[in-house]
Amino acid sequence: MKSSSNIALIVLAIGLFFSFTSPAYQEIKTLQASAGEYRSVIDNASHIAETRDALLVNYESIPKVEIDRLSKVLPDNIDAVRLALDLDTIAGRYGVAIKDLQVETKPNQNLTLAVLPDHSQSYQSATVTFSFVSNYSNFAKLLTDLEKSLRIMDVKSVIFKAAETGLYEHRVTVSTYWLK
Amino acid sequence: MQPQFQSSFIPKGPTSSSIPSGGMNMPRRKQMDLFSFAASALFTLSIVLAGGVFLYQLFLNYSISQMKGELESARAALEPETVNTLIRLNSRLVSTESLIKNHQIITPIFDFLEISTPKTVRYTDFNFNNTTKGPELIIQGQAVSYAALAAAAETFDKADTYFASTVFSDLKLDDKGNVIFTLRTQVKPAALSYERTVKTIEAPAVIPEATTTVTTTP
Repeated sequence: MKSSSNIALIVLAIGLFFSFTSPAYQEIKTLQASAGEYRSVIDNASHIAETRDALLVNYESIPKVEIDRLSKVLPDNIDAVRLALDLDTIAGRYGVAIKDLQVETKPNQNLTLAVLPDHSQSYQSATVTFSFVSNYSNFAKLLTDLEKSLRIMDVKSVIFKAAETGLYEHRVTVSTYWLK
Repeated sequence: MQPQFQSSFIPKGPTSSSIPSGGMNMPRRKQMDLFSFAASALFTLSIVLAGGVFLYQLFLNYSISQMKGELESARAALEPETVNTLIRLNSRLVSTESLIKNHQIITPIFDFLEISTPKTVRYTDFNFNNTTKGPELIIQGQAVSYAALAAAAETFDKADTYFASTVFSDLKLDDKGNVIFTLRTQVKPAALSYERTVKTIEAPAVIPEATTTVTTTP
């Protein structure tokens, strides 16, 4: 009788270990890892706050005009209407009217320009095609302005054909970008 | 005298009383006690372990919930909107730098054509296309003679900083005796670099010797 009690105790001990203690211990290891991560993040929070404060001081030292100009270089969205207005303004300087304008956005993976080292594809691109009629001189000036415009536009295609009148129909395709 | 002999081989005399009582039973009892002790110890240990694990688990869960609260407070103190503004500005700066570095312009091509095209040659069709294979230029034109065309070809050959794999093809005479041709060439990406152009504004690149003016007009 006493011997059977002892065996029962051993069985209970083993049962308790495998049914509760061991699984609970595995869970504890997971909880310990989580707790460690939380502790690490909390420890870093103060460093992050210091860094943020330093960056904020730098940010506030940049003139607002410059930040606005930077936003024009790489706007927050494609804003096709604004883009058409910008192109029309440039063309208008030389008495040229934009006849038609098509905007086609590209999927992210089709970006052909630079892939940033730490910020891969933090911008998207759109292909803008437009046509207009002008003489060569005005076309050259318009193209120069386009290439130097604040909003970055990479010329992808230019097609025109000489005509006896001196006015050529140009078709220009550019790539422009905006921040994701 | 009656002879004394042992009638049985069973010895007479004290039997069990003379044998010590613990002789055979003692080790067994000791074994039983040891076994009982071990079982009790194992059971106690398992209870203690289970209890310890349970309590430690409770403690960890409590700690994590406390740290979650601390983290939320820290996050709120960081002002996510401000951080997001800073991150976005950084992305904009880095992206802009990269885009400007890769910004391409094609006015250098027109500058070259304006300066280097002989007066005896005119271009009638201009087709520039920047594909994934690289920028390509296809121009159709007319030359007053094969000699004039050869002069134009020579300027392209010399302009190896701008063009590569230049081919003049589809040569034929029109009704007026002019040589009609198609020029196909690969434009070197470096020649279209805005960054390079800006850097060389003060020290212009060597341009082929000027021979004429614009000839894209009819």
